[in-house]
Amino acid sequence: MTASITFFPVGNGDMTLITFDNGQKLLVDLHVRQAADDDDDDTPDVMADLRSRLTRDGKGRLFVDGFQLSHPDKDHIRGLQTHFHLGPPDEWDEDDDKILIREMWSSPIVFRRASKSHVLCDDAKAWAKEARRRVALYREKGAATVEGDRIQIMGEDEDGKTDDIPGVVVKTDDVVTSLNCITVGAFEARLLAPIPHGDDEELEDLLDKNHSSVVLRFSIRGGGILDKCRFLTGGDAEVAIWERLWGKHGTYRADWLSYDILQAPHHCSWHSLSYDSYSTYGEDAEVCDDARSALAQIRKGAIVVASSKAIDPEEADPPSDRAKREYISIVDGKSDRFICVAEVWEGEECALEYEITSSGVTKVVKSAAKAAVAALGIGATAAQARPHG
Amino acid sequence: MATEAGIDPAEHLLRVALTHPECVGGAVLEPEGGRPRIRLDMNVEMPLDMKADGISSSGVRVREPVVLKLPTYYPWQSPRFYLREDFPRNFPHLMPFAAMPRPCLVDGDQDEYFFQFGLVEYGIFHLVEQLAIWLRKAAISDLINAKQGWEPMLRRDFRDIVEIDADAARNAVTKNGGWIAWQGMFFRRGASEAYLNDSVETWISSRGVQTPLMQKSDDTTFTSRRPDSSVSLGNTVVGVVWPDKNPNGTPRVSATYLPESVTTLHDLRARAAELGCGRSLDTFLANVERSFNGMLLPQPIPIGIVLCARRPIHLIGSAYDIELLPYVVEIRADKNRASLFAQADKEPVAPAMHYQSLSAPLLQTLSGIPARSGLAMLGCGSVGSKIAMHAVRAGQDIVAVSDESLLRPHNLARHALGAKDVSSNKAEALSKELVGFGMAPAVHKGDLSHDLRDPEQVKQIMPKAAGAVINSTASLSVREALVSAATSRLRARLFEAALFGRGRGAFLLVDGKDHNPSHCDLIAELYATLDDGRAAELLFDPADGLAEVQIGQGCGSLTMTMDDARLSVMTASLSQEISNALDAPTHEGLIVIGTADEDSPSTRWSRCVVPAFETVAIAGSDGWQLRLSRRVVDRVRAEAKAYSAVETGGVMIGLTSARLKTVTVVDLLEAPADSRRTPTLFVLGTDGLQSTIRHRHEQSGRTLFDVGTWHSHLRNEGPSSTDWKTAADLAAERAPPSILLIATPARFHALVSSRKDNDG
Repeated sequence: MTASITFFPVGNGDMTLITFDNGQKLLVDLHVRQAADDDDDDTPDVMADLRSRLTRDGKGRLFVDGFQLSHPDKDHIRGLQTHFHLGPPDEWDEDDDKILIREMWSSPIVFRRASKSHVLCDDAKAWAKEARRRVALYREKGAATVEGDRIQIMGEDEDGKTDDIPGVVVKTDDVVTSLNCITVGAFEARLLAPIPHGDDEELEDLLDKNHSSVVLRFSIRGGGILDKCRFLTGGDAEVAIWERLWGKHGTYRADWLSYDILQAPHHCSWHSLSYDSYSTYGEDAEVCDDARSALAQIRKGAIVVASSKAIDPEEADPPSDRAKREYISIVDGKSDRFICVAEVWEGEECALEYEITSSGVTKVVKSAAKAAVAALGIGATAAQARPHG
Repeated sequence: MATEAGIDPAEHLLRVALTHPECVGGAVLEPEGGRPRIRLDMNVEMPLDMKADGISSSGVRVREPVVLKLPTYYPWQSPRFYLREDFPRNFPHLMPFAAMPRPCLVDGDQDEYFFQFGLVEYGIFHLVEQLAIWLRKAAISDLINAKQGWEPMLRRDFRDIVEIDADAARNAVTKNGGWIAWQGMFFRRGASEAYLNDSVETWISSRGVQTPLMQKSDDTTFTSRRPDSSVSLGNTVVGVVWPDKNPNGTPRVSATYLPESVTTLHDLRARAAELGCGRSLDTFLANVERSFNGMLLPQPIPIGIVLCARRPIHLIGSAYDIELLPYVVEIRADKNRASLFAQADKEPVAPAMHYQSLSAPLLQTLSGIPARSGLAMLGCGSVGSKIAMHAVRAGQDIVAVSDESLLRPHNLARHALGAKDVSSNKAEALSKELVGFGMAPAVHKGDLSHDLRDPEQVKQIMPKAAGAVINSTASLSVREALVSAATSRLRARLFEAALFGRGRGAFLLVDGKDHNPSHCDLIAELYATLDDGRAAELLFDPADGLAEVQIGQGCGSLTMTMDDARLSVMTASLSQEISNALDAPTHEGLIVIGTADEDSPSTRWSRCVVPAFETVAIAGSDGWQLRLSRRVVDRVRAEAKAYSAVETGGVMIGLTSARLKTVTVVDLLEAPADSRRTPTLFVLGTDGLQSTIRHRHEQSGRTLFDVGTWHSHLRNEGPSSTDWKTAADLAAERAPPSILLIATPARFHALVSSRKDNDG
């Protein structure tokens, strides 16, 4: 199996599928807009695309080996209840034909109660409920859980709610090497955030959903060769997080932040790079050097992918054109190494996909044969009324 | 032109190519040699780190200019693609020689690929797609896929040909370096003073027979004659050369793909050195040179040289890792020469295509069939000759052929052999044809019905190497003689194949383990069980039925009207059934019967498995045997069981062979209504019995008749005095033997009263 990373065109939102070279698949976030499920709408039908990339298990269930949720915001979890099976795996229903999540990867935020400052959409509530079900099952059965009941918690709960389940908790700065209880060296993912706030009062104050985003730096095996692709993805983590990450690791462990592909945080938002409001300061807004450094540890030829709408300087942030320019400066000033998923869809009508082989990370070019009909204008005669004298 | 009138084809091609997403630019160039040219700028996706450099590790650029030339007959020919002159050369799928390298875009003929798209635009688009894929693969040197295997050097378009058995060459390769010289034959087109790579074309073939390279006055290793001014042919050698081992003793492996670029002896030596074959090539050439010391040749003679390159992985579509690289070089043994190679290092060397010699494995591979045991053919008529040719074309050995008749002009209507063989013995002529396929069958020209009864001749007719014997003589006497020859020592499976009903019907008999059931058993079983109306009609038709086949050896075949196509259809199916039976052998016998529609090419086939016949020695006879079909045995047992308190019985229907001394029972008639059954006696009645027997006879195409009676004994007691008396009465009433079969609970008894006794 060829390892790959696929960014689905979901506008301002994240939905990324990582396929490892042992065939396992990890979905990072989900954003299925209602229009995407509408056949008559031009919005890309990302669920059809995702489903076509998945396989069925012995019981006929489509599945992902893992689903990593960066943080429980709408633009990262939308469509969960509609398209994914929640609850005990035995209750999977053939007629509904939803996708089974063999193992959830969730931040410990699921242990926090909803409050005025912690408002959750229905899909996020459903995620939290399912996560708590799986944690409860783990408390009861230990490691004897089956596919569809498994969970790993990305980071410790500040209030000690994960202290009794160390077997399924990944501590910040540690690496995840197993997916659905399979450890074959196909990847390792270092958990960089959520950062435990400890005595950092400012951070504690900032600890809303965005700041609690899970930040992972994957090192992915390609064609059997370790570390062919480093992929840094951090949900909607904002400038304060990136600044602290550089503070923590910049001096001795900058390599932990290095990447071949960076998913520009928060859909290419300016607020991941700067404390200054762009609408207030315009071009005078200053980049936070430490945050920029955290996001600038490129390997040769590295690219930045903005999972966002098409970037228009006149439109509101995110996505931010100023941020885009900053990222281009990070990738050696090469504008072709900053790629916006929505713009790929506009040009190629397909998801943005990179293959990871023993040769390296290569953009997948779809077979043009299917496109030939349209490209050659066959059928164009019928495209509009033609007057015949 | 398929393009619209008035549109320049180059402009049109560029416009179409630019619709391909990876074609990002281009221009119409100045025509060259009157032919239009177009440049396409192709985007090449490659790994991110290479993309940053603008060039891949293998030397392919992120933007590759590719020049297309429109050939004279475009769009009846496809555009030709040329890469930049400094494009890296160490790729497979790159045409050799060209100053501007040409990518080999499709597996097969590019023109044919282009043609499969009716629309020229579609064809162009797909060629550009192939180009885009080719470049992406080249960028990461992925044109050799380790799983798929090593891509052999492209040699498709070479003019010169070296025909050898690849396996024989590979088998010659040893761990230590070396060479071997094989006898060869050559065909050379071109004037004596012309050279290779110019106007000379050669074809060298070898059967892999080793030859010493020595100087003898009457030596025929090298000969040449010139039937006309443009052609010469004669004997030559092929040198097979393989690599030395590494200094540390490991095999020498050549892992770098090198395009074929040899054009001179210097190049050849350099290439051989790269492959580790340098030392052995020099020794081979020195030996050739030495063997000509003091000799002169009127003509140049091409010799073949095959370099064996050991690859790191197996070759595509092969289990072997040895790639064969054949070349042709010419020797000129002129007076006052310094060397046989007149131009020394500059002597032209032509890289050649390799043709696989005809061999059984080659034929098996092409036929997609497993290796099968050899055949002995009894009868080389139209059916036999065709079955033999089907088998040999599939790589199956033919170890013996037998036929006493001559190929006569009228045979050509349907025979596999051609007019040149008319007046030859059929077996001899067929064997000559088979020799061309590398076979060496024994030939038997005697009368099979006689010779099969002579154990010495049987060894020649059906040699030990034969795994199967095919009787296609359509002769009753041969059938019986073959059954008589089928002793337990004969290991081969016996088949009988025949057509009937003017080729509208065909049957195949396959005998069982230890030749039971025999062909005679099977034919009786066929007569008794045939329930296919169409087959019965054809088989029992007095005009076209089996009767006609039975005289097939004589002049009857003249009157059996069917065309070759009809005969071939049925014979081909019989061949497939023979193969099926050989590939999945069982203990049982088999009857296959096929019929063809009267007015369409449809044929229908059915298979009937026949278990071994039960044999009972017939008391009172001089070695006669009763053979009972399993169906008959089962019916006798069932009826005896049904009448458990009294004796019961009936009439046996079957065939009798005086020559084989067998009575074969394949059916039973129920006892007439006036029969009497008591605990100690069964009396067969007469009511309607005669007409029932006659009806059964007619129903079987007048083949089956009553061969005796059977009755049961309640206890394990053999024939009673009553039984012996009845046997004597029966014998007195008719000439053919009439058997009494007694079924006791434990076994069968059979008895007959010989007429001699009766007469006495």
